[in-house]
Amino acid sequence: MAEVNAYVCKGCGAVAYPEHRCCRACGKTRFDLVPLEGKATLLTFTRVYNLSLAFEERYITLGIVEFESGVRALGRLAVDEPEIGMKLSSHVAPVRTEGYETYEGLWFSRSSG
Amino acid sequence: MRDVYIIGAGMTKFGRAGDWTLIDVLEYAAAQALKDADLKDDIESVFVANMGAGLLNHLSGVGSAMVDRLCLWPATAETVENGPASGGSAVKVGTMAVGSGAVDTALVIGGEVMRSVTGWEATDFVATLSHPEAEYIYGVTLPSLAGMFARLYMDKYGITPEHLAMVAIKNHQNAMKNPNAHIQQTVSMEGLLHRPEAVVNNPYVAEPLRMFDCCPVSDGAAAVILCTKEIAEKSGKPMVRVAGFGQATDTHAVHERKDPTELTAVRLAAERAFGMAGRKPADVDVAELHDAFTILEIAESEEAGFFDKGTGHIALENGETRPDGRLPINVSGGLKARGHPVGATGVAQVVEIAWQLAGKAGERQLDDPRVGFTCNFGGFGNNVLCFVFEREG
Repeated sequence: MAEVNAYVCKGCGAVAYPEHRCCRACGKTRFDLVPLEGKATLLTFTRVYNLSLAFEERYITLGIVEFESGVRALGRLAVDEPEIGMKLSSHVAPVRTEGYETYEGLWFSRSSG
Repeated sequence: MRDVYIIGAGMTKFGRAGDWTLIDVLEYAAAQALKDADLKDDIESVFVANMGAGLLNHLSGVGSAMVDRLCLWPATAETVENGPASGGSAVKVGTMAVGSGAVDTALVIGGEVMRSVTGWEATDFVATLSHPEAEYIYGVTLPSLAGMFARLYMDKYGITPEHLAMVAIKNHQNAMKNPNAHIQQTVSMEGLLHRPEAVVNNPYVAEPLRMFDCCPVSDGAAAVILCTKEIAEKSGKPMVRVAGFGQATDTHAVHERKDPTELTAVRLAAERAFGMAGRKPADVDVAELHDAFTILEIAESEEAGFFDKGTGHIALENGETRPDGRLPINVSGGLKARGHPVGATGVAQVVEIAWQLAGKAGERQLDDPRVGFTCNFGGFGNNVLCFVFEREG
């Protein structure tokens, strides 16, 4: 299964996502890649109805979360009634299919623990 | 930098181009501006703002094509692409060209023909400016980014759907006096939110934003002529000066911003524009803000310094941003009702301010405004241009 990676600065340990050439905290340019995964908190969300033709659903739900490491990411929500501040867990799965091309990305669902 | 003046402005009606091509709408706006300036063949530089000709119209080299169509050889030509802020960027580049002394005259045109493709394709085309791996693949659209921003902003500052609707109601009302507006239809609070049929007539696009919280997909073009003080004085036309401009960028992916309710690039671009002009927000008599979504008019009015953070919706509610208020905002109808042909918008905002300051705004003319402001918002706030304009004399 594909991973979505965060970028941990070898200089100061700051975590970033997505990729940048240099660390925003210290300016260093070398990183360790670590999977973006684990528990997260929902910061905001929307249910989107005007989708591109790549999506067959009537709507999709998107959200921005903050992981326990402090790094943030946007992804698909598999939650019926999202609420700001709710605890989520993440996994990677297909998020978009165009022709024969499938793109994998972050999904978030209600955290069980 | 030398002082730079606007001596001509023109635009098409926004809406559907029909049989007109992108080159046709750009030509029309440019011809109107040239006529307004009483200039014919003495344009030294042409800057064309456009975002999607390659994708939408199978066309490239639009700047060169416009010199040819307008018979302006051997004027220099550039196409300027900066997403929905392409227009602001082209006005900035034109101002720098004249201000630097490189040229004495510049024609800046902005245009887009978006309705040549389906609404789904147009939405997807605009979405390509989001971050490819961290946003676009998930189905992010500009309305979805605005929806997430709106939810946070409303939650933090106590803004209600009624406040968002007030922006739409005001700007649709303003557009009734603008013959170039895409949508000339008044709307009411009842119709937008409270009648049973509102769920059909004003459905959600990206919750909490509904259809009437979003600008339409429009075709159209706008143009201005920039020149030196000597040429402007000789023309005998109203002296509208580009007093200041500012630009700032922010992170590409919205989630990386420290506080997702801050539009830092708007604040910085406005501060820089006011600093260059030696003016402050309280000096502004009329403003055109980038209300691609109703929430943005409220947020930008705060970030630009017109109202304290979290109070823009109160000023709106009190009528301060109506044409008869303390600071009229989007007298043209804004993107919400005048329309949003993406490459044209930044130029159209400048056209509206130039007309207001020159006393040429027709039925919607304000009472002798002297200082005007524009904010052109690119991406979802990752590249923003602001301008301050002054009427002299």
